[in-house]
Amino acid sequence: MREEGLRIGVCIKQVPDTDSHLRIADSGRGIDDSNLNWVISSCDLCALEEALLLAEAQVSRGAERPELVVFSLGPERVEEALRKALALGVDRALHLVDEALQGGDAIADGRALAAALARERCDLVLTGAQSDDLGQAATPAVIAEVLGCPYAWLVMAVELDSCSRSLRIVRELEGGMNEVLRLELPAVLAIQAGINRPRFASLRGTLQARKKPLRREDCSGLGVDPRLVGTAGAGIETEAVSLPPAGAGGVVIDGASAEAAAELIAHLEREAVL
Amino acid sequence: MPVVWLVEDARGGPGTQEVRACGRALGGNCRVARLDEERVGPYAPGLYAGALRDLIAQGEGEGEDPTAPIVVVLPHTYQSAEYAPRLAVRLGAAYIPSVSAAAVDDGGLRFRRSILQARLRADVRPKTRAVVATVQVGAFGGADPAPSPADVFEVGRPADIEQNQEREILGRQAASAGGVDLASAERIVTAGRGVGGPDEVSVAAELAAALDAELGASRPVVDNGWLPREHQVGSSGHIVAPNLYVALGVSGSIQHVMGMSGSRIIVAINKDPEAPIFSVAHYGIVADLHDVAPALTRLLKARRQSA
Repeated sequence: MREEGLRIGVCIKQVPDTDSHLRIADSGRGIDDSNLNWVISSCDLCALEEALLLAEAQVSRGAERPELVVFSLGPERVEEALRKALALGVDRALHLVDEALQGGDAIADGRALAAALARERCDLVLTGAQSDDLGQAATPAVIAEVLGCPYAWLVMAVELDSCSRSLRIVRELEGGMNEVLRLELPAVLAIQAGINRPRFASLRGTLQARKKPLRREDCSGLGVDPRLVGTAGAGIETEAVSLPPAGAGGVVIDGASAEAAAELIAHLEREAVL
Repeated sequence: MPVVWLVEDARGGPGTQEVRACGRALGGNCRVARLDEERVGPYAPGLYAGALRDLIAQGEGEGEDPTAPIVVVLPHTYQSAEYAPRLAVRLGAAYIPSVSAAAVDDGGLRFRRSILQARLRADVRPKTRAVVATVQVGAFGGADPAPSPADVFEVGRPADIEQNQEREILGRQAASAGGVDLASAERIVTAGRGVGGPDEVSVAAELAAALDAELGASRPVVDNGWLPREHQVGSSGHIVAPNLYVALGVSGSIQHVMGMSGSRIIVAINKDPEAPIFSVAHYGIVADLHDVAPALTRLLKARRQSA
């Protein structure tokens, strides 16, 4: 039996701001990352918010506040995302940073993150349902698989019962239906956008974040085989990226708004939809 | 020639045609892994991943090339996309989710998928012998009906069922209150994130009123609380196919397009010329919706009064 309180791990990914202009790199195998804004992926922000809400709910119920630890894998720039999580109220951060960890796919990255989460003995792992860049929705499932624990994707509500060490969650299904599930801890939850409205960091939080612990870990620190992570451990490679084709036969209407509106109405009359 | 496993649900369900079309595109030796809840047990991610792993790893076919690529194809649904990554890990396979095209060429297997919120697409190849791929429902190229392969294998209970207790289903519920009839609407005007905020949704509502249309919303609009969830169009909301669909400030994520691409006439108004919604629109206006939509509303009202 563990006497200490629960520990919640939140995994976040730093991604290009999708509102910024995306340019295909000269290699043709990815996007040009020289001039991008980097942000925390939107579902991961919801996962951070949910961890903060769960911690607050435990306190208001008289239970011990869980410790919140944020994890992210990536190059030096990722430290900014981790500092932001600390500013929001997370207690400490782990940066998985190593040349050998770069270039992984969801399976390689999931292995590395699972190793870090296991070392920190997290009771509950939260992360976003899918990233804004690759949108594979796979890393949280891989983490659950490697840790050998229950998993739910597209989570829309979480209640944590620290006494019975269990969760009551609502998971999204197709066609506007939800499913209510009970899971035992330890567990991995992939949080869907819309579960909450992520808060903004306060100035006080930002100042405090500078003093909070942020630890760097490499492969040897994590105890992972470098052949199973990063480019070496990735099962896929991207051969080319391209722009989707422009609308198949779509009509583009130009001109000032009043003329464009009139032209559109004329088209819609011809199509007999008005 | 790859060995292709097509994972099908015994009860049917979304994505069956796309999974078969993908199998055909891979030109392989196709066989069906049929999942029947009665036989395998109530769905849980670890249980289904284990059950499929057992069947596929058995190597049912005899006299096959032991170096032939193995492809496991599932639909990218809210159930199979939940457990497919776990299956990939168990098979030591690569994982390539939500593909919209697949092919075999001199370089081996190649899959295409959308990235960066459908702004770009990537062509991806597996580096491993086995690959688990999920197919984007409603968006797999050339998904004309394909016959079911003759070889059907029933998925059994896995040898190791320790993880069967991993979740308990307490019930199901509707995600929203209802009261908005998007499914049978003849016309829909949808507000996207581009409308700007909760106070600006009225620009879409006014156009909807002038068109006698229902008001729809994209996911970000609902997630931000600008409109209630019953307005949501997309794979997690309503799947709609009206006569006229007007997308105002909607970028056009895969999930949104899946929910409305069956509409007869699609109009997109967005100031971002790179917005993916334009690739499904029949009529597109690249402009600020706050100028165009009120102009449309005025003209439609005038048109109605003169009729």
